[in-house]
Amino acid sequence: MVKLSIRLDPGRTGEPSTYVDRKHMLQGVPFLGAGLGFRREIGKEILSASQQVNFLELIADQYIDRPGIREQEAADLATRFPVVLHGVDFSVGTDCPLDETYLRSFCRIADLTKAHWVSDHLCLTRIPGNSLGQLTPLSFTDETVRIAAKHISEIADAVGRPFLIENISYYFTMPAAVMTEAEFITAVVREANCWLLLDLANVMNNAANQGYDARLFLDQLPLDRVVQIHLAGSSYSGPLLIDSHSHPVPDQVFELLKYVAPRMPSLRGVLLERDQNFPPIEELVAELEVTRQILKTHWAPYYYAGAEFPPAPDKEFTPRAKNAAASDYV
Amino acid sequence: MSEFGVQTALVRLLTDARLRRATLNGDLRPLTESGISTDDALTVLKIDRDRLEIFADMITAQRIDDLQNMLPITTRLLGTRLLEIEAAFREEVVPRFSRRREYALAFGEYLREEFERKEPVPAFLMDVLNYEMNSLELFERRNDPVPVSDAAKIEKIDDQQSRFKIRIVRPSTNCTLRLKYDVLTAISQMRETDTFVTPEQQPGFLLLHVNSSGSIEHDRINVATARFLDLCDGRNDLGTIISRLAAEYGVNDELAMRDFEAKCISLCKSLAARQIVYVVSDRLCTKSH
Repeated sequence: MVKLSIRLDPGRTGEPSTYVDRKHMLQGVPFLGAGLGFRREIGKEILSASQQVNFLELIADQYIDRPGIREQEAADLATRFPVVLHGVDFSVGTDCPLDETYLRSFCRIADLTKAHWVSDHLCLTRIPGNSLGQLTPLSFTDETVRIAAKHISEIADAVGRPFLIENISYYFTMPAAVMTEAEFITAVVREANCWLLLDLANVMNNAANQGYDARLFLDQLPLDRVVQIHLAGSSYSGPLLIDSHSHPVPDQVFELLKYVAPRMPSLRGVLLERDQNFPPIEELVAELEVTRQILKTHWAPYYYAGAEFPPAPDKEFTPRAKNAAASDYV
Repeated sequence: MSEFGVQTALVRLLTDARLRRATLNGDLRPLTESGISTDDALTVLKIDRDRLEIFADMITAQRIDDLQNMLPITTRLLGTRLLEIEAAFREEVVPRFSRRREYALAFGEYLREEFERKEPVPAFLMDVLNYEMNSLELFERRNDPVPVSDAAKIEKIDDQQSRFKIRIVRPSTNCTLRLKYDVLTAISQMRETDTFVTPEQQPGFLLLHVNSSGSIEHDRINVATARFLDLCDGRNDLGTIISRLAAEYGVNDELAMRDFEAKCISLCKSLAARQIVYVVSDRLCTKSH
């Protein structure tokens, strides 16, 4: 792995990043517009609304370790929409080497779909021999910054595309923190020389659950590194606001988008996530339109240059015949 | 304090209810006896207990969701008992799994044992569980290496003289299931109408196999094909398989035997064409299923 001791942005400690600068990788990556997370449950509806959906985010894990027919589905989708790839199981904060098999599979799907960029979460999802299946918070310590940055750098080098790290919703804090969440995210992004996927619903959830001011939090993030934004609706489970992706995007989240939009020169796409309680596709399309209007008004490149959104793909999609699989899963 | 130690302690607390109860009640021994340092154990104890419990519940909910995805019909047939059985499973089996599918496989195995040990279970439920578990197990084995080398494979199996020098090898990527009910029709009916009716008894055999795209396919097969496949264990040569089947089916006159042999060879060829079995030279046969 090539490592250079060059650092353009001083981090929390002012030390230079250990990892190679990858800013050039974003050059030539187009602004994609307002997209949807692809979910098989509403796959047909998404295809039918392809004019209004500027791009798709595919969950890599839906295609990794699954039959080849699933990979073909991902490849087919990539012929219809610009695609970005989102992982949920790199577990970049685990103090162990990366899972090489998962990394290879992830890279294969990224190549197959010609993903414009790839992402995963700043969290722990597993340790060797034990998978949690949930995004679990990390200790906000220098050691964890080092661990996460090393893993992110390895992924970015392997995948050869811009890599974005996403802030998670978390429901408890790890003890022994030596920095705030915003400082932790900033330190990781700068140390790893990566980009940020800013989930505004997670910011809203954490502000509610951890008792902080969402705008003050956002002010402390490296917004110049934000390449993608996630929007979603959350729900209460007992006392906690949960990242359930089960409801329409609330006004508070759209307000946060308006708040940060003028300060994100690297932004390439805003994505709506919906995982359950699916509404008619028209409702999701309407939320995408609200998103586009906010960007047109508040996002500097549009505001000043009046740029047009990229045209939506208009080719016909021909779903592949369903395979006579023993079950939908296998 | 080590980050790995703290992470290990946290993951164990979140996935092992008994350990969590003991630790949160101040008994650190189960954690420290498993190699976690006292420092690391004390660190995770500083996490807000209520929130730790809530998060552990979220992990459990995710695992139940995974079960419903991976054993969809079985879990549906269990109905409200799923939660009760899953809770007992978590208490009795410390669930440590590096991949989410392993949780479903372990739960299915637990169900099988419970059904055999404790209670009379509807045969239809056992059929469905066996069908779904076999599908998952086959998927786990989908990348198993082909058990014979290309050099050992042979095409010509018609020669009567050489039948006793030909072995039939069956790879680990297929299996035969004996079912009491027509599970496939019931499942497809459920998918189409979202209603579930236990079908009439209709004993039969299913062949499950991994196809070239990595999906599991199924074929209804007759009892003779199932028996033929049973005998393809890599040890029996083709001549022996035909002789044993002929004996079992009471084929004894010459004309009938000739017809029977032709049918066996035709079946063998069609199975070999789909890579459900491999026909290999006795001399070169190295591995078997």
